[in-house]
Amino acid sequence: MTITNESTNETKINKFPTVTVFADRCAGCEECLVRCPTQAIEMDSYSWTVTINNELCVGCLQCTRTCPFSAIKIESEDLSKTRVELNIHKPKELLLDKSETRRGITNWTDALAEASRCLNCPDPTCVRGCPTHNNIPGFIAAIRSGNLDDAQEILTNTSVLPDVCSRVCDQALQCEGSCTWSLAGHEPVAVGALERFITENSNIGPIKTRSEKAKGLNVAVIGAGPAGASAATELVANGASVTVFEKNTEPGGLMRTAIPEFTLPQNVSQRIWESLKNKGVKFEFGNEVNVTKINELKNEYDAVILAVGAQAPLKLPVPGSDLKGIVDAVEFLEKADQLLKSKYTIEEMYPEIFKRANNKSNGNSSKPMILVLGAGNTAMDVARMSRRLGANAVCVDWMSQQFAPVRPDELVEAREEGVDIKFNTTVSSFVGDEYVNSAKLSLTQQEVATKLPKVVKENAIDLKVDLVVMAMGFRLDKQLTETFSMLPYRKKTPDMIDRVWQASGITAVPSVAWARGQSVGKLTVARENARLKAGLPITDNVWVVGDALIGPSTVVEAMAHGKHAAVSVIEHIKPKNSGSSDSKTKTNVLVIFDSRSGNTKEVAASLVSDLPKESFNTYVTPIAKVTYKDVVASNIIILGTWIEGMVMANVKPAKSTLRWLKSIDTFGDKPIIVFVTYGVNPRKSLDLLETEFNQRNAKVLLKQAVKGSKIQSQLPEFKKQVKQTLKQYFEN
Amino acid sequence: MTIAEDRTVTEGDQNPESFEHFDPIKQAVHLRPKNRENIQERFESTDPPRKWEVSKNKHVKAILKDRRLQFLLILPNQIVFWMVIVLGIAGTIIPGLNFGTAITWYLWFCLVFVMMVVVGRAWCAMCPFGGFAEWLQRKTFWKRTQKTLGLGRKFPEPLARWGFIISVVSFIILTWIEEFFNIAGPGTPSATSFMVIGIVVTAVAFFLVFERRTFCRYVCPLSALIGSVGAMGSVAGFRTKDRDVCMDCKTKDCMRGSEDGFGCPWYTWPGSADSNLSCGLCTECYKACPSDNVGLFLQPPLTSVIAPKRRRADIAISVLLLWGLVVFQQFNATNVYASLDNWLANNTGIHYPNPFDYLGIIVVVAIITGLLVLAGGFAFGKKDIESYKASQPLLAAPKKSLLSKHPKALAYLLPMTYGIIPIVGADYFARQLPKFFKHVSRLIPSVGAWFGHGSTSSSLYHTRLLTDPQIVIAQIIVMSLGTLASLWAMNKIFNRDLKPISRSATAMRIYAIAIVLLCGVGSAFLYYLMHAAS
Repeated sequence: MTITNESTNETKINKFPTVTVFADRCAGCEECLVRCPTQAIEMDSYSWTVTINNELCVGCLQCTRTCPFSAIKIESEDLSKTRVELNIHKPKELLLDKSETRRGITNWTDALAEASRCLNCPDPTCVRGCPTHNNIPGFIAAIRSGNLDDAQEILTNTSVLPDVCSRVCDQALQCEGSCTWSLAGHEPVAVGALERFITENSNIGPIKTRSEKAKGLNVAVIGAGPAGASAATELVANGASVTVFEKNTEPGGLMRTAIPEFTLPQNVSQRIWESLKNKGVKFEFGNEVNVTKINELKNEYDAVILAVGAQAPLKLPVPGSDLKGIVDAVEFLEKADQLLKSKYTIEEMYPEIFKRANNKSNGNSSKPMILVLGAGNTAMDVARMSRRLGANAVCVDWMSQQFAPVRPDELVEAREEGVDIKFNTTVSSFVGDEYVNSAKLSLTQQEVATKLPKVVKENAIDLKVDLVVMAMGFRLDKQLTETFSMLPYRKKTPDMIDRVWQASGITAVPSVAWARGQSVGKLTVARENARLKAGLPITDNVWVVGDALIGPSTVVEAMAHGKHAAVSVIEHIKPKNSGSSDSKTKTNVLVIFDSRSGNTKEVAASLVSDLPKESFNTYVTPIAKVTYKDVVASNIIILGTWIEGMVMANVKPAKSTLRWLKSIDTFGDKPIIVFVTYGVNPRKSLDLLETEFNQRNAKVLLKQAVKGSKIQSQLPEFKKQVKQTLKQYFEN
Repeated sequence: MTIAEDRTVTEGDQNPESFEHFDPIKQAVHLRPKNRENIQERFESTDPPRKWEVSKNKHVKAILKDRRLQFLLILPNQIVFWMVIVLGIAGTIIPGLNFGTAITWYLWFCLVFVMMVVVGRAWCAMCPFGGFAEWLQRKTFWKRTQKTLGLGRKFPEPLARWGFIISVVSFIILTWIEEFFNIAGPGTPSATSFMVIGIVVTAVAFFLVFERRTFCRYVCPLSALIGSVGAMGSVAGFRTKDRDVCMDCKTKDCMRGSEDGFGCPWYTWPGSADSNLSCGLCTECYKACPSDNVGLFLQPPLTSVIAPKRRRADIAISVLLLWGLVVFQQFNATNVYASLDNWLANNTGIHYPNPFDYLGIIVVVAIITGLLVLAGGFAFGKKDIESYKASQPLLAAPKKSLLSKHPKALAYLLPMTYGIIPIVGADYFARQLPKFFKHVSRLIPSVGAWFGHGSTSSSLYHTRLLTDPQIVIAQIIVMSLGTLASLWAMNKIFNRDLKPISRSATAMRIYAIAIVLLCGVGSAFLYYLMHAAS
């Protein structure tokens, strides 16, 4: 890499990376070659190992992360160039200021310089790191060629809220944390800032019609938050008619109520709703949907997408928590927002509380004290809002700072604005007669992220407070969890990570500095599993997405879920009122077999061999290769397995089959046909399989045992039954 | 409707049989196409015949798929070697009557050589040392576990770069210890116990610090020997059935592991394996492959000696050093050696085998043999062999090692050294014959000794299968067979690898044959001398 230093007219040669391909272990599998962003890797077909040209190598370490045998070693200084510095706007007078604090890239020079840091990786880990899988290298390439309209189109392909996400996403744990540079230990490309640059400098127009695929579909979307917005957009863009039900009188969900103006300006958060209205989406405001209502809507509409979020605020169960003057964060922020807009200070918010406070202090005009429980992003918003309304704010959180789920920049900004943030502190009781007067604070200790903090010193601090705001997070509404017992799905990383994801190298770094030491790989895999789940209906035509599915999470994840559910609705639901079925997509029959001797495979293959091609897509696959995506995409599943065990003892379906079944939480009400092939006696294998399926929300339409030695004679009858079952099921 | 089983269905794969998924990632992935240039000719000489796939058989398939297979192979050996340890310490101190020493040195060592020559790494599949450590590392006897015990480090590059040479060095060290403490004689039974304990402890330590079978691949004293001599074996190991499927595979479960199998513990990819050198026959890749595209193949004997296109410098050097070691073991029985060793012992105070003459003889024999090979190359080879591509040297970093500076030297050294592998193998085997033919019957009284029925006076204790002169004849027969195999292999190797770089093909061929004969006849003669000396 030759860099000309113009001021001195000297040519400075950067040291090339030191590159070692360890020929003993290199197996020539070319996993590195196909992924090297600079094409520095070539194949030596004689020795069948790769060679790396260190003059082309930029030290991004992608090859070392993707090599299955760790046969490559690269030593390199940071060649990632300098990352753009983003401005933080500090209002001169904080009181009643509502200007946006975080600013984006303001000029093309910076944008181009930052865009040129992107390596356009062939297997971009940032795209996997982004919960909605924006084509990040794609839009950055468009910026490089100066074409913001193209960039915006690439962006809006996968994201309906790029303007919101670029402001509120915690990029460090998502795209930027999984940027190849940050996986290599350097500073990632400022993806968030570039995304914002696009949205700020191009006009996100009305929602474009993409296809007529969903024409005739009538879908109810419940909840006007990011998940609902994304689902509704995808549906109307494909021709469906959509009605959005919202319990509040305005759309936006937590985006509107919980994120203050100085972080997310109103015009940004409301844009999508205007577009949806213009596109003909119907809104029913002030219409809270309860369980009975869901059942009604289920029959009335072709599909229901439940995007109600996690609404129940967590309460701190300590003595005195029922005193007056203790409110929850959403209520506070909503009121505060109104106050800020009309330029009133906090005294107007809860007049009776603050009047009392003023009386108590005998006219001493000290600022009111607001105690915020929690030190997450919402707590920061509450505290910073309080500062803007002329109050003092203290945040307490029982977690240790290093494990707290708060953006570090948010923390810095809050502290700079005068918020007092105490980690390792919790409230043990509130004191007061009618109204809360003071809070007793205890000190805690937390050693590891996975363990709850322990109180080490009781009642260490006595804090005078005027108002307490609980901002400890939310959980799912009780009604929801009682109706759908499988909710919420907890995001988790499986022990065996998807090999395609592993191949990309995203899971190779256990601790990414930019992601505050977290394993971006594990986070992304867990997020992706949740996104795939959103594609499966929870019962026949009800999909649950966003926070309602996985508990409190992020705007971008909710948005990704909404889109995936909408795609799934479009692919799987036939309009109720359309007489012609030929306009609809074909039925996807997924045939999974677990075969040892070949018998099961033989049956599986011939079962669907003569289904009419015009109405059925069939996909026959061994169990080792079936992906969760195949399950989501199928309309019916046929599963066949061999029977293991001795003649009498321990006879049951193959272990690998049971293991696969256990890996699926729900089949989303899909119909199932199950069969086994056996040698002597299948005993209770079929019943066992049926129970397993039933527990996973699937209905077994037909079960059949086929004797291995009598396949030829038993198969025709079984085939006939399968055909009949399919016919019956899909005609009703 | 065809079955999609023969294709790997993975992300980004344009498989018409798979459902179309809503997959936004796909749009952003633009992998560079793989380079498949010359792939056909690169592997055609080493790919085993398709019809020689043993795993086609239904029953073999079921056995290989069973996760308990390797456990069941290891278990009997595990039991025997714990008995060796216990009996070596607690049992009788008469070496010939102690079951531990008797089975280790009269039978086991010979059997390992037979398996090596016939199969390859058969011993590695059932090895109780690596097996035991692997149970600990995997926290299971046979299950597929996703989390392993230990640090899972990678073997440091500067060491790993030496390939199998580390293993040869540890074999040379272990052999010296054996000779010094007279372990293999066999001597005091407890010495054998401590040696076995030492190996197990080292193996466990390596398995807990490093990932996979780093110990077996780089450090195990027997690994280089089994790897290089095992090249004569007729088991090709686990190989790809259809290389295109492997090239298309996006998941590489055979290397990374899947639900059903661990990633290859030996760092071998069935998709590009061109010899049986580092296939530990552990069946993991066979279990892991989602496309059922890995098979267990047989191959004609000596294929892995003759056919590999990528000859390895570390193997060539290993073979030379191993050759030096076995020549030492023959030479040490002669009178000439005895006086040399006595003289050194008097002057250095270290008794037999004095490390100076021990290492000296090994290194001198290895270097002389290497230089003889090179002399032929320089005398009869082409001056300019730029067009001939030397194999990628494995020693040290590129441009730093002596060998990689001289690709021309490698071009002669590697093929010719591979050509004498059968002689080296035969020599090691012949060296074990006396213990077997003289003493293997002692196993029976040694078992009887547990029940108080074995004694040195029993007739079986003194039964010999062959007399001394008969043994020498057997050794000479083994050496002749080895020499014949070497001649045949050398001829094949010559035709493909050496002829194109010879100035005078006839002279070079005669020279290569002369080297084989020199080694073969020389070592056979040494057996005669050894007999004469005793």
